[in-house]
Amino acid sequence: MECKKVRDRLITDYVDKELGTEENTEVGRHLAACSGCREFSEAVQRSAVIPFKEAGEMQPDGVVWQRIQEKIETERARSGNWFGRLADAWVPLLRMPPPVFRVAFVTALILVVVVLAKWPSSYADPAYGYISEQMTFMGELRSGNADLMNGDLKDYDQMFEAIGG
Amino acid sequence: MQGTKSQSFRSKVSELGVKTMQEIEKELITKAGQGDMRAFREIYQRVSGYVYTLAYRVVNTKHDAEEVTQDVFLKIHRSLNSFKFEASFKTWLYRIAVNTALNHAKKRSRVTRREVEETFEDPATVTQPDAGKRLEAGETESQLKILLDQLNPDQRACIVLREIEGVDYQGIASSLGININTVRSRLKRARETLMVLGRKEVASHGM
Repeated sequence: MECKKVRDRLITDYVDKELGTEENTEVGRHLAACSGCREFSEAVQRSAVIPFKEAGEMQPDGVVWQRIQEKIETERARSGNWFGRLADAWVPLLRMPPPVFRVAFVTALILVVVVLAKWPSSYADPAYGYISEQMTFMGELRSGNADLMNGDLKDYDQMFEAIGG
Repeated sequence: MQGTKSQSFRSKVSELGVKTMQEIEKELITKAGQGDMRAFREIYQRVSGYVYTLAYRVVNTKHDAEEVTQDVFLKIHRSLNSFKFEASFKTWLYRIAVNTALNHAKKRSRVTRREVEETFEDPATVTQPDAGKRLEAGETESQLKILLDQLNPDQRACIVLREIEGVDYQGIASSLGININTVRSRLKRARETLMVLGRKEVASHGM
């Protein structure tokens, strides 16, 4: 095994006991024969492993528990009223990271543009024209505009004559 | 594979810390999940040191470690009633702690020299009953702090989980949501940095 490859293993898998049996044996054999790699292995232990072995446990100040307790009580009070629940639902959206906001904004913008682009031409839309005409007619019926109604009735008279009615 | 790929996630914390972590009874967790504040406080008293220490190693300042500890326990409080007991409580806890710490660290700028000195002078950060041991522990903590300050938050999280929590590569990968090669690469970079620092110290002491 080359020294470069061995040192790569020494600083990662070998020191962390993640190597398979065969590779572990190969590295061990190389170390027995190579003083440079042995020194490297000792340096890994000295600088990057041993300093952590004596790490102790620390305790947080008493004020940390007080703050936790206060926040829990505040959350309980909020969850008891509808406004609090509503705010709790919306506030996370406001705290979304900027990239999400940007994506959401762009998506909304695209949707608006697409919808507007497909918006009528409705005046050329036959269905729209028919509905519009009928609504005008209904409006005239209510208004009692006899001329218009008579005009329409005349058309019907002609139609009946034509079909022999 | 050869070697001790321990699934027990042995910790380097004090004996008291290891014992208390193992003794979080299912009943206590269930009670706390149902809103029993006394049960939750009991859990806090037993594991806050563990969480705080883990957070401190990643964020590297007392103030930030306190904020992270608060966030972690609030998250735990909100999620306890849905804890399924599929993974161990400790595994669940350290995953929340390390990820919360990591997110926090990435938002913050590097520790200033003033904050390093403040923490260095604070003897209350390490619990050792004997004054002599306290001084020794304080020195160890300061040295650790200086070492960890050389690393970025991602490297710190990997080194802490590996060297202090004893988590294997697969465990680190799944805790942090990264792949094993990324774990390996971060550990390698972290150790190379620490070795360079070690060589500089040796050179400066003229050894």
